[in-house]
Amino acid sequence: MLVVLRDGRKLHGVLRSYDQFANLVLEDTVERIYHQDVYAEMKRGLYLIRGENVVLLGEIDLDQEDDVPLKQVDWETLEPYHQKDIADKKARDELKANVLFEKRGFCKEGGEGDGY
Amino acid sequence: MDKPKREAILDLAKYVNERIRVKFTGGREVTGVLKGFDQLLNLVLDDVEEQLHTEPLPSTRQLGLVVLRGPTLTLLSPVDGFEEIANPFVAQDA
Amino acid sequence: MLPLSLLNAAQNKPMLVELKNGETFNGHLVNCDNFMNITLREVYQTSAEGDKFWKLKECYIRGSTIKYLRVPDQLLDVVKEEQNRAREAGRSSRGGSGGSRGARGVSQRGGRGAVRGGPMRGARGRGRGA
Repeated sequence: MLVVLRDGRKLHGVLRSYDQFANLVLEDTVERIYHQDVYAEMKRGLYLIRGENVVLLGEIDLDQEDDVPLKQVDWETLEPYHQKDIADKKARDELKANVLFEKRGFCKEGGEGDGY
Repeated sequence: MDKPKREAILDLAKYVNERIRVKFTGGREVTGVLKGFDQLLNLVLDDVEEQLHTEPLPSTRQLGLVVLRGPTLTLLSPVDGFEEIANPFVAQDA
Repeated sequence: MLPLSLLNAAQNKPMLVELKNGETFNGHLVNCDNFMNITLREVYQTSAEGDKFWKLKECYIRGSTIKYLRVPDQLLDVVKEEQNRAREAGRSSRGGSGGSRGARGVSQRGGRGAVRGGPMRGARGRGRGA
């Protein structure tokens, strides 16, 4: 299964159980990061995820997974690019929010700013 | 097996007259001496000092005797044994 | 095996708790309740930016502020074994005819749990095979 969290993290793992709050138990979890057409994985193990932080939960078609045209690289290589992507996006979103706030009279989004 | 825990999982009695650190939803943070509490985690703290996350340097302010609302607390720990340390996760997955 | 019963079974085990604000806490679970409120001992706290670290003897964390918990991989096997033992014990004490009732004794919703467990195990097998 693929789980996307509110903080943007993407976790791949085997869904072991869930409850009425959509709290999830994810086994053999790996976290994936992406940058352009490459990705990297980091083993994370057993997760208990609090349901309210989950944006998306989807089954992965393992047959199609083989055809994904992305190249895997080392986590250590990709991580700096990934961090920069996040920082760039944050700066862009802040700039956008400021323009909307000052020129268009929108209110500022409180706190987390993840749009969820 | 999975019986609901009626009793609190935290025994606040052991912290009475001890200095504790409390964080709230929204990020505010105080320390104070625990004087009283109830099962909803409402607290009475004395000699309260708020840690302000001011720029460029953090600062504090004195608040005296304070009632803290239980539902707004997010984190509670004794000040005793609390210290800032160097990265303990070197060469280890944090 | 509900997520919260896994958490219950993780008592005295090391774990990593990440809060919604990004702060993380590494420590041993002392206690937890059905709101996911938890108490930890021998805790290392890490700031959201990952640049500051603190040591705490113990701490209490409100469940509603938690993003996720990372627990030892072996925990799932331990819990599965415990459940099997409990099921066996339930069967032998109630007699052979009470197989389904014995299963119900394991958890409050044992009947549904068993149904849930089935397709998941199947999915796992497929995942490993491919």
